[in-house]
Amino acid sequence: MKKSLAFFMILLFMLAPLEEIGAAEYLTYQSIHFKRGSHKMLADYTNYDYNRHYAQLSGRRFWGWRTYAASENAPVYFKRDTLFIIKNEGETPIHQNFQFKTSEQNTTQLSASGSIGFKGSGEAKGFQLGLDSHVKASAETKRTSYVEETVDIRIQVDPMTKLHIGVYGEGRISNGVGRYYRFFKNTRSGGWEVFTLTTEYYSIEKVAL
Amino acid sequence: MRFIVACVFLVCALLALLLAVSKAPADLHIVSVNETHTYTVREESVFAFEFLANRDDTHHFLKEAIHGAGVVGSCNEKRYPLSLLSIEKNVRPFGEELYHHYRLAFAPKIAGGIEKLAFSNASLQLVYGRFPNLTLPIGEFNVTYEENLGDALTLQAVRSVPGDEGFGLSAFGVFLTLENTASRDVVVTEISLNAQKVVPDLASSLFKEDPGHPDDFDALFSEYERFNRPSDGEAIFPASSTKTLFVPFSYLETTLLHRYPLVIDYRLDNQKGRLMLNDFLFINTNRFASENEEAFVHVRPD
Repeated sequence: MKKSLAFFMILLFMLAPLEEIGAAEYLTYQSIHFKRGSHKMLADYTNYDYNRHYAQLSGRRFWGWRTYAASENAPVYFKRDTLFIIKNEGETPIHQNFQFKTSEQNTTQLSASGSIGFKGSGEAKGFQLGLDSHVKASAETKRTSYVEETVDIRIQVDPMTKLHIGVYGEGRISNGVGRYYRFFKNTRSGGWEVFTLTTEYYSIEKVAL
Repeated sequence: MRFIVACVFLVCALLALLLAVSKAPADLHIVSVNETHTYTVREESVFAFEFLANRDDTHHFLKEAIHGAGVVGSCNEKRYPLSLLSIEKNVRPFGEELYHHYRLAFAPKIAGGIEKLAFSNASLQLVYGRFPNLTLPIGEFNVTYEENLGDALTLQAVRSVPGDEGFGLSAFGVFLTLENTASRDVVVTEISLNAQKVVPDLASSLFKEDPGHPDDFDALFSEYERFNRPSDGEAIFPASSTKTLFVPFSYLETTLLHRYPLVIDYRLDNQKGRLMLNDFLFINTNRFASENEEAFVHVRPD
């Protein structure tokens, strides 16, 4: 009985998420799913996953990174939260103009776990100690652009309804693990993840109050 | 003396070598998208056109150099005048190269009133003071104005379904949740995008009895079988009912469609009704991501 309990505790420990993940906006989306395959988000890596991926790293090195990519540009689809709401609590329909600015396309967001850190912020944000150049997906998405479009629409909002703009979309995720060495000594290790937003879809929905 | 002559000769030779080696600037190459532009015009409307160019050292996309602009049809039969609002510049990969990305935003000149217009093959014409005009193909260009008639039918939800038919991500169809607020049946007779190359196929549309639509596109396609086909290309909404209709789009020619209005014509008894939704950006994506050359038009100005 004691053995079974101990085995169960070890199993629980192995399956529990290992590290706290650096917050990026895409981690706050309502839902995000891989389109196919058995990919995992970095936030869902378990101890077992980390150990399995670390085992893929070849030996120590004198100085620099050893990295392994478990997922490379794996397509994902997501649902973000509601973008805009207009409430009509009156008894007659109202015609409302509203405007919103769309998000940029092809932008990347980064997250990391363990002792992998970031440098810079906003558009210039990157991984510390040159990890970017070791992560193929991140290097590719450096060549990006910022495009913003204003959506301006006039719509009828019926009595006792509220109007939502739902935001859905597609993107790509690359993630894996890395270890940084100095004089053959492992000084940093953890997981890294790069999310690239490729397309956003907008929908209009009226919901009864 | 010989030394000086030798030095002069050497310098001349070096200069000649430098001139030969230095690269002449590449010819200007502008890339435009074969797109369907369809708008419902109001005073505050903004039309945007995007282009890529391999150079940024010419006058072509300098706001100060552009003295006038308009959209013209293939026969130059009419010109739709525009006022340039802004030019946003950026960098974007195209193929293996990095190109300069320009987004030109315009306002319509509607001092004489809003008119309807339909150009199946339109071009943006930029007029410069000292240089020849530049004509850039933009695909299809249609404008109309909001024209609602009756209030029996109201729009509850709308969501475009994206698809890639081989020439880039584009609108594949639309989910419409409509409510019949009248006490009699409403018959939807036609749905239009006010476009010529993309046509909603109401006869092939599908009904879903309960309102709402799935959150992810995979689930969306798996639910098709539960829908019932409308008959004779007309969709009947019983009195005081709400239904979701999926209407697929037919592409008559290669084009990309990301932003469009919806014009829903219906019949209540013998009276005609119309419900319109202004042009709405349903898909926000990189227009230049397509790997099919048919999606693009290449211009090499003199």
